[in-house]
Amino acid sequence: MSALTLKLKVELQQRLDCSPLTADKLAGKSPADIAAIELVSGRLSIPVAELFEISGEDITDIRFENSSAKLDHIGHAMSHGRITINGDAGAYLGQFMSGGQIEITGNTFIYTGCEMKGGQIKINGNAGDFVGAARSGYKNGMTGGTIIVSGNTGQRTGDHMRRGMILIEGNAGDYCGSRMVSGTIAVLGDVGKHLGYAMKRGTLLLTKMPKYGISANFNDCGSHTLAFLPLMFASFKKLDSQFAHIDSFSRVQRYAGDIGGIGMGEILVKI
Amino acid sequence: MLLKLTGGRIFDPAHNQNDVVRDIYIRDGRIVEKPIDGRVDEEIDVRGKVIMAGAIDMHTHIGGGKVNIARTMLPEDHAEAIVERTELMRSGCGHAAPSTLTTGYRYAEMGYTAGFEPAVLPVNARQAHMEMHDTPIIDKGGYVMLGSDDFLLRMMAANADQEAINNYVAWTINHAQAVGLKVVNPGGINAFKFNQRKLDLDEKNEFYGVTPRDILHRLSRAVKEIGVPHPLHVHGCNLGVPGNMQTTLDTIQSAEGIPMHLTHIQFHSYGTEGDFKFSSGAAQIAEAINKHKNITVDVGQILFGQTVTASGDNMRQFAGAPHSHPNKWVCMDIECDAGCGVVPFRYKDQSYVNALQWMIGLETFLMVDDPWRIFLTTDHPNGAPFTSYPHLIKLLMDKSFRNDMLSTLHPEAQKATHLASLDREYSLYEIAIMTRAGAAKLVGLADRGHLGVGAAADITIYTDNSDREKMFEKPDYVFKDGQLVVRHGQVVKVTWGTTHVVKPEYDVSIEKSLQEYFDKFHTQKMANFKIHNDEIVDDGRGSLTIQPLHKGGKL
Repeated sequence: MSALTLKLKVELQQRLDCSPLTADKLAGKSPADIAAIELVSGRLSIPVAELFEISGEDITDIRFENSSAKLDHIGHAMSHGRITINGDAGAYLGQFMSGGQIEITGNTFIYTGCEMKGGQIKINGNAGDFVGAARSGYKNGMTGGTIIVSGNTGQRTGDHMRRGMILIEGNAGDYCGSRMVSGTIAVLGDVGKHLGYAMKRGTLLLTKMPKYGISANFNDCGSHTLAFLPLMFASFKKLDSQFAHIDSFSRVQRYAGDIGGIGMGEILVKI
Repeated sequence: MLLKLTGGRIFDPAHNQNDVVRDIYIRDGRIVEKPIDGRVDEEIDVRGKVIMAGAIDMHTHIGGGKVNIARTMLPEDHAEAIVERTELMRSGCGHAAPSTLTTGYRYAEMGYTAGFEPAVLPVNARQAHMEMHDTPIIDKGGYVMLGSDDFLLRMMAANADQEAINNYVAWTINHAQAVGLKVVNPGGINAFKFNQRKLDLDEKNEFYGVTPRDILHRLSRAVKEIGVPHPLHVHGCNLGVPGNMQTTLDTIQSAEGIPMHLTHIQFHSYGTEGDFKFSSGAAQIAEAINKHKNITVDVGQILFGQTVTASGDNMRQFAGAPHSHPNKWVCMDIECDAGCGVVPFRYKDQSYVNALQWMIGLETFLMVDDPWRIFLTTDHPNGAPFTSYPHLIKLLMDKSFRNDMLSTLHPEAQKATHLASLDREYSLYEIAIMTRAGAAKLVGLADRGHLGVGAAADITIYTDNSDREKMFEKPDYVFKDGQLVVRHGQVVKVTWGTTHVVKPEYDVSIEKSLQEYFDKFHTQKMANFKIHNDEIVDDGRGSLTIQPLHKGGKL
């Protein structure tokens, strides 16, 4: 069976909700059924066939070709299967996903991996604000899984994050790790201002000192040799990411905070 | 246009009609006499069906700042209960804190035609009225809240005469467009700001030296003397504290025969016996209510599940905040006028305390003899959302259903209650008293809650069904002011209800000292504080109904 390929063939006027196009929701549907599914775009419902050229039938391997930043909610609540996106994706990529894989060649926008529970998202471009975050007003962001960003992320990366990993090969924006409850964010490039703002627990791992320094709300706890770091780097070996090739290290400077709250989070900076 | 409802079984306690078969004639939104020539334009055959006046929820938090805070704080409450628009109805959302529109539709679908917001802060009254203005179909009104405001406490600390307090109360009711007066944790909200974390009935506010007992006495007298029909609406001291039963009994005594309405009495009926130091005080409270004819209560029944508690009582909400679920809460001061606390809460049937709260509420319902003095509420949304009323009615009307539910609850709590031995089952007539005639009488609505000639044609028609939950959740027909708004539990027409108010007289000389007080301390000018009649009427969608006063005057 060949991958179910959806090639966007129209210039979208409004944003398009792609949440029905996952392996879970397409289970048992014939190509004709899939062509007839109505997607919501602005105030209209439009059948899939009018928006996409459809080929292939393997719903566990879905490909979006010619994708645009107007395609929202791709991979919504998926539990298995693989989605590959050629081009950009809009907001809420992989929201609530609990398993499976998403890979995208271009950029994603706000709330990538919002409240995801498991699985993996690989972004080869840049990601927008609130990667792995909680929706506004909610208490828990991502609670499992891995998000790999080859480019940069926007602001509030990992806001309210609860578990799981966000690996950023480029730079992270302002307020990285804000209100984090737990989990791990690692950044190979630079980080913006207000790193770890209102962080409760969790780990922010950096390979160099932040450009804007460490906030006064974090205590310098001195240098440490942490045995878990080489083990964690070893676990990255299987990833399709620069993190797989990182030179393992265990010596870090540790800063604990945010002491404006319970102060059990940590920023680890390679020395 | 004359409409005839033919052959229904009428339950109209205001006219002592218990299951009487008679026809009802409706013209121009009113119930009228049988026309002399017998000609009717439309006839609906309702033979065998149960007919009651539209139900009245006399205590439900449907407007005002705290509901909006709850809505803002709980996006999950909306995201999980989204209501799509239809050709007729606008979209909405929410379970515990539904949107204004959804609130109106849901009430109407259950046969309710009026709801009264019990905690309108004077300074926030405009907001409350705007939200209620946006609540379709049902009539509404508010009880304005005093008792922790500095102006009153200053007057009391200076030992002002009762006349001055009466003037202040009447002025506030007028200009906040209220139908009654409420007091929440008398003086306690103010005491909280002076770092007092509890305030008993006879404990002094550290700054003003005023006790809750004084406040209750002054305000209940004021309400009586200015002739407001709804007695002082009291949310007493020590809400939710084990052992608060004694405070409640003292509060009943302290009324000294003046009419007083004790609201969500379930939360005020706790003892301290047993291994858990938490027990039911329902028997003693019910006995006191039965004995003191000046006292009315509504229950504030809890039902299990997720809800949100929203109250002006920031002192007790602050104490309850560690139990919030999900873990987030708000306690705040509202412009130095009063306070507000919003704590989301999940009542669990396997929790000893929650299970006992459920039993205490039902015990109170079953042990208070006079249905004219007890009202069916869940203190929406504090005990449960109002949409659970049909379930609650079934609990009251069906003993075996009640006992089946009881047997699934926390086993230790079951041992701590006599609920299983209470045989009483409410009749349809008693339900009609509690939710219609009694409620209308209590709030002071002359033309609602009954089916006599001249009454507003707010009418609910049910198919009799031994499963009372099914019966009450889906009325066959609901008429609001003579218009058919619900058929088979579905809204078929959207109308806009009126706002009920009272207009007690006051001496304008009170404005001299108020003017000074507003200029010096308040966040708005006195002229802006006043809500004008045309604000309620707005574009013509709203309207004001001024209810008649009782005969007031000195006691």
